[in-house]
Amino acid sequence: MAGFRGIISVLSALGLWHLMSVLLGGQILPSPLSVGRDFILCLSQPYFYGHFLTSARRAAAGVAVGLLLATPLGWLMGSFKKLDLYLSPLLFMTYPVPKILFLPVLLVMLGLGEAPKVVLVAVTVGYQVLVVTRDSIINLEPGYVETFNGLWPGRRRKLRKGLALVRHVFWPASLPSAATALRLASGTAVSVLFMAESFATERGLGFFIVEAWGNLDLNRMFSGILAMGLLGGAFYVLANMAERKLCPWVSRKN
Amino acid sequence: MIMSGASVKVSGLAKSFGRGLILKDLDLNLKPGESLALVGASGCGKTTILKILAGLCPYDRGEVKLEPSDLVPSFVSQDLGLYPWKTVWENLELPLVLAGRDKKARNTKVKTIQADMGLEGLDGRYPHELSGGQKQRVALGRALIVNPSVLLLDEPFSALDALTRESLGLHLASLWSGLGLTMILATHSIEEAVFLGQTIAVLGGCPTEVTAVFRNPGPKTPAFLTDRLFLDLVRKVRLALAVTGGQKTETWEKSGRV
Ligand SMILES: Nc1ncnc2c1ncn2[C@@H]1O[C@H](COP(=O)(O)OP(=O)(O)OP(=O)(O)O)[C@@H](O)[C@H]1O
Ligand SMILES: [Mg+2]
Repeated sequence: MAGFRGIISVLSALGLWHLMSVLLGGQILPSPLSVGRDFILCLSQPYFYGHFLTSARRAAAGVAVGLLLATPLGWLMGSFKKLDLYLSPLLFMTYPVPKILFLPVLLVMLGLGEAPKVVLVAVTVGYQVLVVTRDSIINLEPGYVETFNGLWPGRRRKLRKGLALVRHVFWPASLPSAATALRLASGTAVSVLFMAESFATERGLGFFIVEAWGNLDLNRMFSGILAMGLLGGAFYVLANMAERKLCPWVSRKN
Repeated sequence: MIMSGASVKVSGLAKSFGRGLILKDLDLNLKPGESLALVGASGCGKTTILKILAGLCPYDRGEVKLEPSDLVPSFVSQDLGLYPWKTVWENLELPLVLAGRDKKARNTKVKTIQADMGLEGLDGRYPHELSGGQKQRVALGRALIVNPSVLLLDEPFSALDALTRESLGLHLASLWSGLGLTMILATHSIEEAVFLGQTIAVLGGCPTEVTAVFRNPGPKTPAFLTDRLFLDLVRKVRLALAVTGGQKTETWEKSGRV
């Protein structure tokens, strides 16, 4: 039933697109059929694949770096009040700033290679993940930590205790919200990636789209856009799957 | 698996939260293997006392002495503290994992505890997939799995219906006498206090003090629940709670030290 509804909604979106393309004319908005045909054509070209893989790699690296840095920092900020007092003003002052504004700075600092693109995606994803993991620890039921203290044998071994606390309490407690943040950030990550790839580079889907646009090859341009959309969608689906796999106590509840 | 209980001695314990003085001068005394029930109105400080004994809450003055001194009491909190992200098996196993026990020893021990607590076949369930009584037994099992010599229970059966409550109470009583634990439990239920406590301490006043003490020499068997002695004690404790109603009474027959 859900699958049936899904098909209906996709078909109506395509229908609307087709209608718009008829109204506006194929020169402005190519019809879904012709884009689809070109997209399939693109899929058989190594040239297109190269760009697609470059973008996918950058996005994946950015998401990974963002997660790896933001999650532990969120745990630290959530559990050490003193650290949080210093870092959270900085976090919330910079949080509303669109991360794309960092692009020129990153280009100057890191050059024109892969680094600025990856860092930009990492920053975009990282901010969202940082905010929610920090919150999930701050709002953690105090009973969970107290119970842990009660179960910990003896009173010493501070460092080992801290690590065990992260493993058994902080990590699982922050997983569901981190997965949600990752899902939300997947769209933004791909859009900043597009911006980062749209100039000063000759690789990636962003470049592919801008190039096709310059050549007024609308079908190709839309194929590129479709591919970027799929990239974002893939991250969304991956985050969803990761959540199911890593948080069975949440998914089994619903 | 007979374990030797430990002795617990509290003297002159004082505790305040901010400006509110909760405990001023509390004394408790338990010999190894004894059980003590704390009864008192909501908010009188039962949880606070147990947390202090468990080493989970700092206090202002006084002395808390456990003998042997290096032991760590097992504490079951009012909300049970089961981790929603851990299955029954993982929750039971956690204290052993934290203690660094190897996988084989853990498996054996968890299986034993499951059998003791009637928790077989629930390994892969998460806490939200359990009944109230099952949750309670998991929490109790997790506390007992480390062979503690002191067991602290904060309203262990408060969330349960009367029948489950009684059967778990009987189960706990048999565990307690079998294991030779020293046990302190806080409860709202007078019947539970009288049944499970060899000593019943009525708390009252502000700051909280022990306003009356009763001894229950009876056996902890189902038959005792309908015994004259039991019913008599229940009546006396109820009267003591009503009389004190938050006020300390000097006139009470057995008022005094635990
Ligand atoms: N963290 C805290 N900060 C401030 N006051 C507290 C705190 N914890 C407890 N109190 C206060 O201390 C008093 C004793 O609380 P406690 O939880 O020990 O009562 P209790 O006897 O266990 O009550 P109940 O039977 O409802 O569980 C209460 O008046 C409560 O408001
Ligand atoms: Mg309480």
